[in-house]
Amino acid sequence: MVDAIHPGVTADTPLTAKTPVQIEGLSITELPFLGKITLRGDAGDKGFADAAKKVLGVALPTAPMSSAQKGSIRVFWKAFDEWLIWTEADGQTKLIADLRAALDGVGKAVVDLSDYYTVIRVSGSLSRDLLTKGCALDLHPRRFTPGQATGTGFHHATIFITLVEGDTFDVMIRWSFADYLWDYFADGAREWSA
Amino acid sequence: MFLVKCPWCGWREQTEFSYGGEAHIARPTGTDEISDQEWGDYIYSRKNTKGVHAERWVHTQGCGRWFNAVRHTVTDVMWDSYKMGEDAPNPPKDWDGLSSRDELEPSEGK
Repeated sequence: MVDAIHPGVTADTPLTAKTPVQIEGLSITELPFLGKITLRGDAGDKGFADAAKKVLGVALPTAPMSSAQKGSIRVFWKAFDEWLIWTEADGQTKLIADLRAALDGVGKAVVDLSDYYTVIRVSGSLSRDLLTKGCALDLHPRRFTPGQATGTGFHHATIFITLVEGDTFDVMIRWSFADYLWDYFADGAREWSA
Repeated sequence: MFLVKCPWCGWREQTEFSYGGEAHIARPTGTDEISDQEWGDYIYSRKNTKGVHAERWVHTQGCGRWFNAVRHTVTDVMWDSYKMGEDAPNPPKDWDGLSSRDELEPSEGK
C-alpha cells in the first residue's frame, strides 16, 4: 500500500502489489496517484489560451506531440483542442478549481482523470529495447526527443508515452489495463535478468 | 497492415486507427420529403471503389481526431490525408499506387 496522501487513509493502485524491476540497464517503477487532467478548448481563443497560461504557468503547447513543463506541472498536446495535464499526487483538486475559475465564461472542458490512469516509469539504457517489444513508434533519440509525447499502442493496450530525458520514459495506462502492461514489461525484461 | 498518416501526428501503424468508410457523403436535406430510395442510398449505397478512394479515419489511440485520407484500395498505400472540410488532395492521374505523396514529394524535415 502506498502511504497516505490524506492522513489515516491508505490507497492502492492496480500495481501496488507489483515488484519494481531493477536490473542492470533497466528500471520499471510506478508513479502512483499523479494528478491528471484533461483540458479542452480553442487554442486560437486568446481568452482561453491566456487564462490557461496564467493558471498553469506555461503556455499551452500547440505543436503536435509537444509538451511544456513548469515545476511539477506537465502539459502535453493531446490534440489540436485538447491537452493532458499532469501534476503532483493530489495536486489536481486545486488545479481544476483554479482552471475552472480562470476559464469562467470561456468555452472549455476540465475533467479529472487522475484515477482513470496510472503512470509507469521505464528508464535505463535498455528502456528503448523494452518498449519496442510492443510499441511500433519510432523511439530513436533522433525521432522521439525529450518532452515529446503521444498516444499510441503497446500490443493490445492504448498508452500515452513521453520521453522525460535521456532514456527515461513515462507511460500512462488505463487503470484497468495497468496490470497487463506491467506484466508485459516485466516479462519482456526477463531476458536481461541475471 | 499498412501505414496511415494522421494530419497532426504523422505516419503511424494502421492499428492505431479506426476506419470510418467513404468520405464526403453529405446528409440529404429535406429529410421529411425525400423518398425511401434516396434515404436508403444515403445510408447504404457506397462506391466500392477499386483504386483511389477518399475515406474517413480516426486516430483512436493517438489524438482521437477524425480526418479524411486518400488511399489506393488495391495497394493499400495512402497517398495523403487531409483535415475535415478540406478538399481531397488528388494523386496524379498516372499514380501507380505504390508510393505516398511524402515519398514522391519529400519536404524537408519529415
